[in-house]
Amino acid sequence: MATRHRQPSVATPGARAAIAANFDGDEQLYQAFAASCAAQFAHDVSAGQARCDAGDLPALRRLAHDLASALTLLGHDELFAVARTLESQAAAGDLHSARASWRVLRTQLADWPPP
Amino acid sequence: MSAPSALNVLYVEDFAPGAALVRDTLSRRAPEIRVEIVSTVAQAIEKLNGVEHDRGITPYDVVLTDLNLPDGLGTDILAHVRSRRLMLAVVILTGAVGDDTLDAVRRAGADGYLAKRGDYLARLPSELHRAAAKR
Repeated sequence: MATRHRQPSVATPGARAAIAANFDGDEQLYQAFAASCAAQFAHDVSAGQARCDAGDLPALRRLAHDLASALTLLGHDELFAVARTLESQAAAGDLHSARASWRVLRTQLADWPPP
Repeated sequence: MSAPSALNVLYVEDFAPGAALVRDTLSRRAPEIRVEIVSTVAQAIEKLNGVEHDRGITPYDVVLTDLNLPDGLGTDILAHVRSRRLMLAVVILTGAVGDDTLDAVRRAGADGYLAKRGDYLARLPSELHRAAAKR
């Protein structure tokens, strides 16, 4: 059965700012990207957890990098900062801190998009 | 004013939503740019190896590549293109925000580079045309 995702909101201040700044005002393009990200994030939650459990920091760094790029485009600045921190921690080989950051990210992504 | 010339772009991106975003953007705003998407360095090199090496001719005008890929870096593709003297431009997209990264891309000799932030989607068509015109 296909997974159903909530429709990402374009009414939040972050989304409105992102549509104006990153999507040249094109709300449809933003919505299509946000929906695509919602589907991708569902996969990323399990992939990220597996990488975290295995201590695979290079793979975790790449995932964090992709997530950071997507989150900043979507206008989720706080979570973007978490992803960027995770990317830095993974690049530095700090598994303990990376796991803590991943837990924060995973919790948010597991219930994406935010209500 | 004449219509923009057609471009064939090989886009290397492993993050599916990012690949779809660029494809949709170009389809809507620059339909003269045709995009073929692969997701790894190896797939890109395989595509490029299908060309006439002796003359450097390829079916592509531009390789647009993400910097961070599962099996290497976008600069690895750039190095392959230069070492084979392929007649196409290479534009690198990066989500990294550090100046060090952008400097490294610049030094590697890319024909163009864009950070995935701000108005990069709006600038992408002109950046691809500009890079292709340099080759």
